[in-house]
Amino acid sequence: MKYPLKLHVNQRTYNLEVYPSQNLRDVLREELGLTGTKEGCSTGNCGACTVIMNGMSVKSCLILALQADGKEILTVEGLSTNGQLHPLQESFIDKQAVQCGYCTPGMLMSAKALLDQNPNPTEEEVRDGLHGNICRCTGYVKIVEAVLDAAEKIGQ
Amino acid sequence: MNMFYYEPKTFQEACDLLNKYQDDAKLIAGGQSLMILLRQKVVVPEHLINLKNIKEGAYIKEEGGELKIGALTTHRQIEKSPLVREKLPAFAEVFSGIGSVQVRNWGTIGGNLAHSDPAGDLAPILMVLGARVRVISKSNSNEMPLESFITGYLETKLRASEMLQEIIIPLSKAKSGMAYEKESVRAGDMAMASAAAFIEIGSKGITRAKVVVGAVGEMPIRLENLEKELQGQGSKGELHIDPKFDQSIIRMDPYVSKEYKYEISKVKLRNVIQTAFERAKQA
Ligand SMILES: Cc1cc2nc3c(=O)[nH]c(=O)nc-3n(C[C@H](O)[C@H](O)[C@H](O)COP(=O)(O)OP(=O)(O)OC[C@H]3O[C@@H](n4cnc5c(N)ncnc54)[C@H](O)[C@@H]3O)c2cc1C
Ligand code: FES
Ligand code: FES
Repeated sequence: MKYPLKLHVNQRTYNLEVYPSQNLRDVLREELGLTGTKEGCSTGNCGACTVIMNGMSVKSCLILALQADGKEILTVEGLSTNGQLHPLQESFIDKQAVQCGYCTPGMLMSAKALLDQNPNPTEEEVRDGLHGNICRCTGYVKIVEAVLDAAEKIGQ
Repeated sequence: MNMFYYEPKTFQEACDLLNKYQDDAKLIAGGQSLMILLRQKVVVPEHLINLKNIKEGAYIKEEGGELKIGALTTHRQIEKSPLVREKLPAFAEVFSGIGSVQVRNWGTIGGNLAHSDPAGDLAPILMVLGARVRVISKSNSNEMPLESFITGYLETKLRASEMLQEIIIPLSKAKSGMAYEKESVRAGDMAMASAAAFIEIGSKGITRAKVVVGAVGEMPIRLENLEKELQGQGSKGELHIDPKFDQSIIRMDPYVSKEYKYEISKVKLRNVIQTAFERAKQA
């Protein structure tokens, strides 16, 4: 049986009908076509599906879509405003923190949640904030540099 | 199969649903353990009951010399709670090692304990702290020690019509200290071995010791012989810790041998006993 679901995603409201067993990630990707949120493991380990829900970073593969009813969701598609990249996105480019790019949307969302709560993090706090996100390419150094760089830019 | 979905707003509503659907129902809190089982169809409930809208279920308060934590309280809320940091700093500290921020933002203490994964971090610590749990059903409400609540690998005393409402942690009035350590493949992963110790001291050394070895067995296990050996020690400074235990309790592990798990457990046990003792002295 399907149930009504009202989702606020990137400041747009969607009225949907979903099955109880559907997770938030699959609804974002398959029902809304927001494929920036990635599927990596579906077991909560990789963080590629990270989105921000009511200000908190969460793994969208481990959340029932129906649990997100009425909540504000921010996905990577909602990071830029009026075609202007978010400082985090700019820093990821500038610092070459992207290789294959598969982990990048999740990294950006974890980093955004971190900076929203802690605008001036230490390197260790950045590493802790990104701990739930796995990258198989970069070795993390450039990603951490990018987040610190973005924090500095936002602070100015 | 059709799956029906419910969003109770109170514990009473949730208990009424459990009472009605019994074994055909499954509770979901943060889903950080259950979502995987649902996806793999290990668990296929006919009635899925989402507990996240029970607002009265998430709280942390001090009452009558005890800390009371609602079952729906998230790991992150406990980690960041000024009250927990003040009253039980060593407990608050442990949360930074649970998964990642995302897992802690949505996973709950009640779900962690009800899931009863032997590799979980919270049961060993709460056991040495002498925590109790409040189990409720439609018409009953009972407290029991966490130690008797946990009965085995992914098993607890919960019956189909029952759920966890609250975790109660007594706050020691004596000079006391607690410590927890785990070993895992990556920091923040589930433990392959873990140990927790709680120690109270008086003028004649250790007056009470509680020691648990976690993750290696089917469930966290109290080491009562070791606790007895520690009794009365430490009045002249040095502790003599011989952390041996029955190796037959150790489970197979995909990553490491049983021998390794035994050796690393002994290291962790030694560390936590020493740290808990030092913390008690400084308390
Ligand atoms: C990547 C990852 C890493 C993790 N690392 C760690 C770690 O290092 N240490 C650790 O301890 N844990 C770890 N976990 C597990 C995490 O702590 C889970 O949050 C927790 O085990 C389950 O809590 P939940 O609220 O998500 O419960 P759910 O997944 O919703 O439920 C788990 C079980 O408990 C039952 N349940 C839930 N609430 C209640 C209740 N109030 N009464 C009765 N039954 C209830 C459910 O029916 C289900 O059977 C990790 C999880 C992930 C995904
Ligand atoms: S797909 Fe969600 S954590 Fe990997
Ligand atoms: S850039 Fe390839 S996984 Fe991170």
